[in-house]
Amino acid sequence: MNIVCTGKPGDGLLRYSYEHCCYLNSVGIKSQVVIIPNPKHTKEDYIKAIKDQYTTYENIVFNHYTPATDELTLVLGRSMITLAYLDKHNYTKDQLLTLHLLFSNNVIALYSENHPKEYPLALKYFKTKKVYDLCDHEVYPNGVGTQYEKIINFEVYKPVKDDIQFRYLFLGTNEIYYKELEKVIDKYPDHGIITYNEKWINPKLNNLFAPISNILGKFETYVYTKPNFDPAPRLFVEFKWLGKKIEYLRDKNIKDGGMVYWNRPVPTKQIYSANINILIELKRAINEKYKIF
Amino acid sequence: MISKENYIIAYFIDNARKNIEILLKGDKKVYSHIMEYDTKHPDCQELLKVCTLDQLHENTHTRLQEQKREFEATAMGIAKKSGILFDEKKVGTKFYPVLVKAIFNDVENEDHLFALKLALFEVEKIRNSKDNESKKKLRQAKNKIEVLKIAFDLMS
Repeated sequence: MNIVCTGKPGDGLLRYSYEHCCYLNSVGIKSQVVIIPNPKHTKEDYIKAIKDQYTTYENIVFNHYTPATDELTLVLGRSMITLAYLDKHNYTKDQLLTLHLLFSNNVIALYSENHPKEYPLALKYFKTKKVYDLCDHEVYPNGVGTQYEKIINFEVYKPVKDDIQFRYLFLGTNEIYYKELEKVIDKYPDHGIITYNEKWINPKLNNLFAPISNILGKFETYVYTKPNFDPAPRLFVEFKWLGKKIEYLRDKNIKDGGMVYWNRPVPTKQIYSANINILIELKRAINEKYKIF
Repeated sequence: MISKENYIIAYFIDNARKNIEILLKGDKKVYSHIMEYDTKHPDCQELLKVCTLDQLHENTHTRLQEQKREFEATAMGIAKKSGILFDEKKVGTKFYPVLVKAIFNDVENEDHLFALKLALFEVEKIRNSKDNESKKKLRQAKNKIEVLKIAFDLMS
């Protein structure tokens, strides 16, 4: 299985992709993550992101891969296909060739609604053979596909070293998140904001530029302020897993993964494998259909 | 005289949408009547009783779409007939001189190379070949002749 990632090194989807890859290989399903770096980032940014967080760094290829026609492609969000389509003029010809070859095969895609108009255009552009949908219907009530949740695979996490440097962690990795946290930050003087060195940051605040090693060990409390749609939050699930505090500082009426994940139990090995078995079963059914063994 | 009985269709005929063509039924014939869109004129008032302004715009849009489709079909027909465009299902003799030019001219053109490699990798025998080294060379090849040489080797 080829798990394609066209997102940024700081994205949750890169992590979900790698965690899927680790689990699938651990149960004997040969898999790899094929990363086509976002044109604004380097291969090294992705390598650092994975090495910082996980005990292993394996089964990852960058840019060049020629899949056979019977290989399955998995994307942990439809946006992986749409972003590739939208960025097509910024890739090298070789990256674009890899994307064409991977996305023209059968694709298993997790439902998302980031680019509803562009997604069908992307499928047409890449001439995708067939898409098999998986969907977290609690997050996307109008989505399509077999019920499937994005769950963190904590089994592959590096141990977190307790090295508290700030009490409160804020996520300000884009301008919208940043503007939102600025509304409350004065109430949290002992804060650290994970962000990028962009023009919209406030230099008077404690900005920490991503990627940050051992990020989970550096804070006591995560203040969850994301104002817009968050399909599958990771940070507060990670804080819950570590038994750390979380402040849910956003509108509880926002219908997205925020409240859904808030109410879900901390993932265990059993929860993880029960969920991913849905994907494995789907892969088996597709292989059966196309007589691939 | 425009009435429900003799009205067939009406639409704007200019970009400014100031003039209208109306088709009316007569004795076994259809009559075309051109008039200005002027709501003070009695003919226009009669027309608006059987066809609203919204309907006029919708008819105009539908007609333009039909005209566009007809034009495209005609243009494609002429292009195929004159050899400018090829029918994918029916490769004729005129195709070969163009193929030869496409291969031997501008051999390092990046866009051509990309399209050629992609088309070759759509060939199952090449894509599913176990000869990974040759497939890698095909991907890395810097001109069309080199690409085709490797493809022929993979096919043989």
